[in-house]
Amino acid sequence: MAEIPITTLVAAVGFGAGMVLGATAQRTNFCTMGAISDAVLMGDYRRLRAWLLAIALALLGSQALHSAGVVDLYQSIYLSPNLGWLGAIVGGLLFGFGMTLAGGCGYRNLVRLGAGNLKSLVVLLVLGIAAAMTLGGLFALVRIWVFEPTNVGLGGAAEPIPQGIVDLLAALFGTEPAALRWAVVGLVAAGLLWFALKDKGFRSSAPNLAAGAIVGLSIPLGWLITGVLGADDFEPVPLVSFSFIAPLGHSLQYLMTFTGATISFGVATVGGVIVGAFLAALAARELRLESFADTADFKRHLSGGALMGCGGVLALGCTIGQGVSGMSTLALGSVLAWLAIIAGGVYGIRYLETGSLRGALGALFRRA
Amino acid sequence: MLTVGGAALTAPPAWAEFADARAAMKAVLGDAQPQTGRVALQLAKIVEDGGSVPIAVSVASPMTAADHVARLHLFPDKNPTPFAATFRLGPRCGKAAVSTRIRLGESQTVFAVAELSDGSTWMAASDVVVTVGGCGGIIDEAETVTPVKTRIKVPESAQSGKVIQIKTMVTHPMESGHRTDAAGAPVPRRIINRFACLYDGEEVFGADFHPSIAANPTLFFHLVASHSGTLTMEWLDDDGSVYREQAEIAVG
Repeated sequence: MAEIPITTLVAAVGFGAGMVLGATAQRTNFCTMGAISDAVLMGDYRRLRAWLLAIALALLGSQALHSAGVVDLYQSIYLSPNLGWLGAIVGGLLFGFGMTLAGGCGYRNLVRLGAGNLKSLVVLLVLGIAAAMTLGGLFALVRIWVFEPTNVGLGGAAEPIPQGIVDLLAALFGTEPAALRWAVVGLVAAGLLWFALKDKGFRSSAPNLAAGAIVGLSIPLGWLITGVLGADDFEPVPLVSFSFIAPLGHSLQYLMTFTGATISFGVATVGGVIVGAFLAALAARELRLESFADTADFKRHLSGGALMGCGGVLALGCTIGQGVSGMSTLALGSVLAWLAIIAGGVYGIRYLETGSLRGALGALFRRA
Repeated sequence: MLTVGGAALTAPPAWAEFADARAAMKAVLGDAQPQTGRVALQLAKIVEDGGSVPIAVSVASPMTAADHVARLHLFPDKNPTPFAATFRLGPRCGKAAVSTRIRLGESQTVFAVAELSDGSTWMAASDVVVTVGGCGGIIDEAETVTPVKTRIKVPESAQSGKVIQIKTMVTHPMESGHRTDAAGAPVPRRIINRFACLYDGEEVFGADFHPSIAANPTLFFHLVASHSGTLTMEWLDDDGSVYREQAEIAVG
């Protein structure tokens, strides 16, 4: 019997986990853009609390795996000593603004595509091309010339310090990261859980609770799939968890170079989310072909997809990639990117409301 | 220390630097003109990190004493050393299929050439686009100093006459000699230059490596499980060290 290659195994399990995420978001309406928009426009914080619950659970689960020595989170890109702060801030702002134009982040658009939304198909195609162009294509030149020189090598070349908040605090106080880890993790997780669960409306909303729990727990599962199942000296699989920007670019490349390509975890999860959302929508009789209302609608989705693709690569991730997976490592760059995405999202919502970039700025400051 | 069961591992002949793959091919093959066909080359069309690119090459051959692949070469056309490896095969391999990881400095064509026991030569070519690295700072693997460690994966038992796959790996920087350090001084070459797999002391598969082989070189190849015995894997370092690991195989 032929042995199943590790890459195939990792992709198969990743596809399954992606299906669960796809079905979850389809059934529960989990949406990071929606979370910001509900909060800003309607003062309804329930979907935001679902996102925060996801971050808290992802943080606890991932740090537990790390402390137990099951996975080494320092092998992930998030904790690199190379802090791309400008990319995180500018990329995060672009991504956050883009997702409001495109009716949701990459994850949400995969789910909407699964349920038959053709607008999301356009968003995802443009997002994937823009992401690939920023990774290694034309826009990569801008990324390399403008953004990479601003990256800060923490701790210098001699004694690099990972960009984890735990590691930076440990360096500051001259102690070991392990000594501080659970104090910091506990404090952050407790704060997030308190804010998420203090609201009765959220506690009694089963879909929001379920969405937060499933999305949150999928992140440590992702580390397990690539870090434990994928652990093979001979065919190493990079340690990653869920993220929906670079993997979308890779998915398009994968489809176009299929005969000579090997499937990765990221590509498999993208496919899994679409199929999971499709099956969930089918079961709930919610499959419906949707298209653009008018040219303005088309333009918004087009530019939203492009902004998310470029911004997401610059920021090294999206509302899931940085906003949950990255946050679970407590990387400084992830926190910067996450805050920037939220700021860009709030501005984008004000822009859609007021119809102009200046008006949106005015609306921001009137509120503040 | 250098010999096991009479077989000696010596450094492969030193090659001059080649201008391109064509020059390297001529040096290796003489005037033989390889025909296109019989060789299959598996290589991604687009790679984001040229530092370690998986490549698999196989040849349609019965691998019998009368008709088998004797040598298999890889030529990455635009690398500083446009010659990556030579694999030495024979009928005891059972199957002419080898995988490893190579470095690709830029977009280029990779050629695989097979020399058969009947004197004919066959080739395949594959174009690959190498783009800049993607997410995050990619740490130059050659800079991380790790102790040399060997790993092999051999089935513990096999049916007699069955073709089995052997996986080997050695943690080694494979310093190409084409790099400069932070101060701009050239980093001297230090690579694993030769590998041999001995079946009860007799070489059944071997490889010559050049600087285009990626750090931590891996090799997957095949053998016919003919009898219970000892498989010895040997790696020869530029500095003269020989790394060796053995495994027993029970054949029934």
